Amino acid sequence: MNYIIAKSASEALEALIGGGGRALLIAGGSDVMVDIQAGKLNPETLVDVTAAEDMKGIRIEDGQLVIGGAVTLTEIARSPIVKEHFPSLAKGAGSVGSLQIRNSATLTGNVVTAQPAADAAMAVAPLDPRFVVLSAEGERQVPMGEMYAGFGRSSLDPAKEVVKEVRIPLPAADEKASFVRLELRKSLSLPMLNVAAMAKVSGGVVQWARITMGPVGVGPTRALEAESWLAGKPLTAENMAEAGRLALKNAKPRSNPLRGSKEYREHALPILVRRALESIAKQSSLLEA
Amino acid sequence: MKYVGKSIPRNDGFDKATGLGQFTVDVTMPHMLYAKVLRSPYAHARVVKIDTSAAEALPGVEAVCTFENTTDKPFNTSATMVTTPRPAEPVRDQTVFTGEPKYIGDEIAAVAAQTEAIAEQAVKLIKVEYEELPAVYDPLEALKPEAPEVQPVFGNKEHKNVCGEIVRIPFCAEEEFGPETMEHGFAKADVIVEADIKLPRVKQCQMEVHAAVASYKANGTLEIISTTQTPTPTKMIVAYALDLPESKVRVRNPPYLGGGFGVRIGISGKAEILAAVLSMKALRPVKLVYTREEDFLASDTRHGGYLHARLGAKKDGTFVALDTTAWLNTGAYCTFGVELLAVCGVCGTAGTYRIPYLNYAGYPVYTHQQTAGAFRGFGTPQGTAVVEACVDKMAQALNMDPIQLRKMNTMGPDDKNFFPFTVGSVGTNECLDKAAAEIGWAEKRGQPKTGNKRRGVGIACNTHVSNAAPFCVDYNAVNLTIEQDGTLRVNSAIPEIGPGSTTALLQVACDLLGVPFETATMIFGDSSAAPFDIGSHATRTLYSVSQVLKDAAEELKADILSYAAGHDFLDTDPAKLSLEDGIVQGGSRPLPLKELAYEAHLRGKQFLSTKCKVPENSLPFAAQAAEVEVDMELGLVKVLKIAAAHDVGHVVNPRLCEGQVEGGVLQGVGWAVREEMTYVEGEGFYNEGFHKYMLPTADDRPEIVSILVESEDPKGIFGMKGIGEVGCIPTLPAIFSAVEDATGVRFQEAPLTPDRVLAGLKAAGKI
Repeated sequence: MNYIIAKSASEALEALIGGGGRALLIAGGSDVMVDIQAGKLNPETLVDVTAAEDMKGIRIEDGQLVIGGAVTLTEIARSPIVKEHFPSLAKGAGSVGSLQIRNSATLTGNVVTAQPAADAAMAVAPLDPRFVVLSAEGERQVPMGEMYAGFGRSSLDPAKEVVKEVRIPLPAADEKASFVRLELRKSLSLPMLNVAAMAKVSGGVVQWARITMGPVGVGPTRALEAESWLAGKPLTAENMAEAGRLALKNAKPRSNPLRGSKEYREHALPILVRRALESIAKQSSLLEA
Repeated sequence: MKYVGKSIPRNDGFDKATGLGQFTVDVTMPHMLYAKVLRSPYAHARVVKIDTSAAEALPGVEAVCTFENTTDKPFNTSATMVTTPRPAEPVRDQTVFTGEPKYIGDEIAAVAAQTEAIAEQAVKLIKVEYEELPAVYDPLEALKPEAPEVQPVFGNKEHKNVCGEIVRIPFCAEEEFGPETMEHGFAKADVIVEADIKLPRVKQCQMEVHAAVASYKANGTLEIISTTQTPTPTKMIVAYALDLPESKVRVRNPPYLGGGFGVRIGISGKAEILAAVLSMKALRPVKLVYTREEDFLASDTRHGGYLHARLGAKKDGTFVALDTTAWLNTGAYCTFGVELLAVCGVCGTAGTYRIPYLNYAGYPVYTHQQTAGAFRGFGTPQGTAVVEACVDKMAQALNMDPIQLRKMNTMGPDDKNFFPFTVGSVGTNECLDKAAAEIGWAEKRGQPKTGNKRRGVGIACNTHVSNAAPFCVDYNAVNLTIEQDGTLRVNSAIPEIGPGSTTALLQVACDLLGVPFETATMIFGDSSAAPFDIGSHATRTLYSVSQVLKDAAEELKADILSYAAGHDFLDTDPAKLSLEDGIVQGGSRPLPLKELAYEAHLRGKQFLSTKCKVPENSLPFAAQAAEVEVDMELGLVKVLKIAAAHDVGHVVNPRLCEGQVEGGVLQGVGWAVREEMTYVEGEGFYNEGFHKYMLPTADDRPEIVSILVESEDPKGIFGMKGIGEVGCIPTLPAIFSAVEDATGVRFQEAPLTPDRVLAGLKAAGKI
């Protein structure tokens, strides 16, 4: 197997294209290496982006939080910039796997592996991120909703495309986000359920809300019914509970021998959605912290 | 005592912390081959046809063993093979391979090849045609007349799917035990309560997977380096099963092993014997390392199953009668089935309290699932779980404080009970008081609860043993040698499986003899290091080896002092001499042992002692208090704190002792709230590794406060009792008690996963 250490995103793209479909992009390797070990992947070439200078670092640029495609989850979880603007993202990034995994795994990887309950992907989902993708056709920006092609399937092709960075619009003063996780174990375990939310709340009234949930569908699943119902309504206890109940309309949880039955997840999901909204209410000083 | 009682850093700490220590997975030998195993995909089937020709033809394959070309002599992979006392006979119901697999994972064949990859490929090339047969998975189902028989040849002839025997433990202090006795007992009770509990199958999750390197030579010797907790019994089992002279078989650890928790008391899964048959066929060393998946799905677990108990007491709280029944899922093969059900009764139900009328029946039940065997606590946790539930119920029925009720009924030092030895010192009530104080019992228990997150506190107590004597064969030998420079070498076959045994044992040996710890060493974990030692299990290592160390040290010291008192040296009465810190004192001058040993050497003399002994047995007692927080609407139980008070008799090494308590507690917490092996019919257990098994991580541990109570046991060396297994035993009932305090619901099934708790809260109308 060839191992190419790319010095930039474009160099990585070039190497992938040169691989003719038999080369695969690797960042932290926390999934790719496991899949290679298990015989599920058998690439001829691995293109490592961890040394790509233009894929490193977290910065503010043009009113956006920019996270390089090779930035690790530990860097995100501990970044003062992320903690200041999106504490929920720091929390979600800090919930993936274990410290050792987070030291190598990336946010981009957490999205492109396309698991429905990935904590970092869930936390970033309602923040309206844009994924800056390089391909033979050039550069484009892909919104969160277009990143998933199915269960465990990304719409991107890791043999042909490189996510250079993630761009997230900075929140206005009245826009807050949250992330909650129902877990059986703090580390090395997917959650039973996770929910993230972002909302603009002006004068106690919800202007808009984005709520994502997992694992209840393909990738982080939007609670569209709850979102539209909530718009224009005050963020009261009753309305948050009702939004939680409405969230079920967009959720199709399944039974898992370990992480809870369908029935339990259907019971718990509205509570988690409510709690995610309560967190926003607290941050908006509508509820006591 | 210069060393006993001190937290001396462990002598293997650097090697283990840095990765420099050698474990079985690190071992290589010249010309070594690698093995892989073919396992049954069916819970119950018959092999109609097996074709190994393609595997044998694969370049690099050196041996293929199957049930067709390998001995079918029945044996038992557990140490019960060689430790079952007369008149009982060990249940020998296993063979190296089988043509009639009895669980998903049963061994059909194995391959040894030049690389692991070739071996893996060769296993895939073995063609097997199976005829699937009906299977049964639940112990209560398996006892029904229509259930398929799991072990038609070796099973109990009178009781379908009972392995060995139904274990019965009758005891009455008042009359000769007869069919009416228990009714007489319950007739004396003013209040009778009953409790049921269903317990899950859980896995030991020791850090190092099962592994063995076996090297059979043309001269008939077989050397095995492996992960066993019991080198000598494992040597005897392998020699028996493969018809080899025991003198030509050696089993050792390399010398470390990454934990055990009971999972390899005897053979490690089947690693030693599989590697051995392949090595004998190939005449090359063969290494077999289980994958974590194999370790999870094809080696012993803790017994899950059902228990029921009925407890009668007088109005004032005095216990009069306890009747308990256990139906535990032993799985496809017996291993420790019979012994474990016995310990469940003896230590789990008959040990903690003074109860004049006692009865217990234990059903070790065969099913078509993987085998359950020894796991820290060995039946005592299961028995304790149901009895402590009964005691809490009794406290409610009598409107008494659960601690007060326990304290008035705990066994006293002079009480007559089921145990065939004296009770010894008892620190149970002190443990109860200290655990209660640490958890804040007086302020917290029984407080009214409101809101969604509700806290509660609970408590439970228990006993266990400090070894297996006299219930099973349990003895051990050590030899002590004074090297020519006067330093001490202790030889024992006992392994060090993680707790720091080689450190604590040398602390004891050096204090018994009067020599410096710094220059003493121990050769351990090797059937050739010394004569028989049953191994590291049953909370016995430090306690039992110390017992024989005392005899050997006394003899050795007498030899040294009498030699020192001789004409060539101090020329005095040996009774006037003593050995302190490696120097013979009391004579005309301090005589260093270093000088004496070398002078003796020059005269053709070395100081040696070999002793062998059946140890005494002391009952360790404990009480743990738990504080939990329950998120009512989600059914989420969070364990906040465990106050673990343990009567250890006398502490040998406080830091190591606390480590034993803390590790045990965390295993108990996992068992109570998270860990569970889930069977999916047709596919087997879902839990193929840590990702699919909710073992708590370090991040999940509650606050654990270890409280070591010293009751100074009259039978233990320096007053000590065992601690190894005890830490995990009372944790589950303490947590269940705390959850009841928080929610008002006494749960009857573990673990307390969110969906189970939510369903229970709903059923009880609490949410």
